[in-house]
Amino acid sequence: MQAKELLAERKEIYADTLKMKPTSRVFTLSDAFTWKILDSDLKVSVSEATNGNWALMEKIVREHIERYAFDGYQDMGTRNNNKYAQILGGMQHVIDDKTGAINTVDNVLMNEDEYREYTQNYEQFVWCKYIPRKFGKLTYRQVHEALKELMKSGPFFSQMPKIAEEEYGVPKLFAGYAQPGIQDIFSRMRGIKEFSIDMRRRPAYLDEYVAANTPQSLGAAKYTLDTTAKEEYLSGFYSGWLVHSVMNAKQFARWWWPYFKALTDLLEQYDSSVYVNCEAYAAPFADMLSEVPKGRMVLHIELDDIFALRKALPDICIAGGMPVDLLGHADSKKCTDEAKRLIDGMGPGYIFSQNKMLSFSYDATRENMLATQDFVLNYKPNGGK
Amino acid sequence: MNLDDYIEYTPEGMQKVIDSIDFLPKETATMMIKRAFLSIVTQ
Repeated sequence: MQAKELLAERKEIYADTLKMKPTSRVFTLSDAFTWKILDSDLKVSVSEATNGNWALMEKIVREHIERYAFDGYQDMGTRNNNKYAQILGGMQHVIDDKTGAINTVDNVLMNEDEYREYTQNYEQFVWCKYIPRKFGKLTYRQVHEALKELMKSGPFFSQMPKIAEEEYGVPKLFAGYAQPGIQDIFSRMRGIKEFSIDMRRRPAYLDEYVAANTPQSLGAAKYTLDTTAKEEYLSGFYSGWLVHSVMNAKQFARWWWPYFKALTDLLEQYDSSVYVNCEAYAAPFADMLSEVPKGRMVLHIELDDIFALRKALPDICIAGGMPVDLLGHADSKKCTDEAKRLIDGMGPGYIFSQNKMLSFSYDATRENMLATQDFVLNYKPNGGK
Repeated sequence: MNLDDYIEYTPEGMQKVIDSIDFLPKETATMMIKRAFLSIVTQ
């Protein structure tokens, strides 16, 4: 099949899946991040591949697409550029090439009494307080070099999805990000521990922050919807959920859900959708998620029992579920049996993907990935559409 | 300004860095510092 035909077929399957309609086959999505570097025949380390060598990264991404032919990709090689850390120092990502691991240091770079300052003048706060805390002294030369590195990445960021679409018929997954600011407060400013304490001891700070940030974040989402051609993307937005992993249902309702409730109203208005990469669990928040209208959200899950979640959320498209424990350690027959069980058990409104980001070499063997992908692409659920 | 001088962490210091960027038009340099650079350093 030519790239154009494949692109059209993939877009149609995704659109029908989102609306919970039966399809001729299941849409497959690669959740491979650094695993594709370690799987490559180029035999390069994670730190070499994420060193701003975009020609190398393009080869790795092409190899992944050509070998496995997934319908969509969460990552096109744009994540984890460690060149900035070499130039500026002080970055939070630490790469261990022996294990292929990228660890994040949980720093506290904003103090508890600085919420208002951060909210009222983000630019000034980051420049005057955040950067010196994180990097110490920087020279003009370091800033210039970081900017030049940033400019080098731009062409790859725009070209790789275009190459994937034009040469391989891979649709672009999303147009923009739907990310309320509280995620940054958690992962970049206050850190896991201090943020957790803030939720219990300083909830008024979070209330004030969320009240100020929600309209701003929604305004950014509206701007994306107003300025992009929705037919060029599978979903309007991508949203990475992590902060909810330290929240209970009450906290989720208070600080995370208001933005998403309003966002889904906006998506309904614009006939668009959001692809949510939900780390940890979604189940504790199923009551709220069940309010999302059909066709507006894909929920890519990690630790949830996928069949239980299907029952709790019959109108939400769910992605994921294929255990990396099997892909990495079982034989191919066990993998294809599990893929069949997932597709048959989930029914319409299911996107086949892995149950966590593929990161380490032991997350999957090439043999199992190939066998599973071959099975899924050729399997006709319930005899096809 | 020497390229090996330290930048200043004040609003004026940010402007000095923008003014020091001779490889981009002023408007682009301003956007690159205020948006792109602040985005990469907070990741």
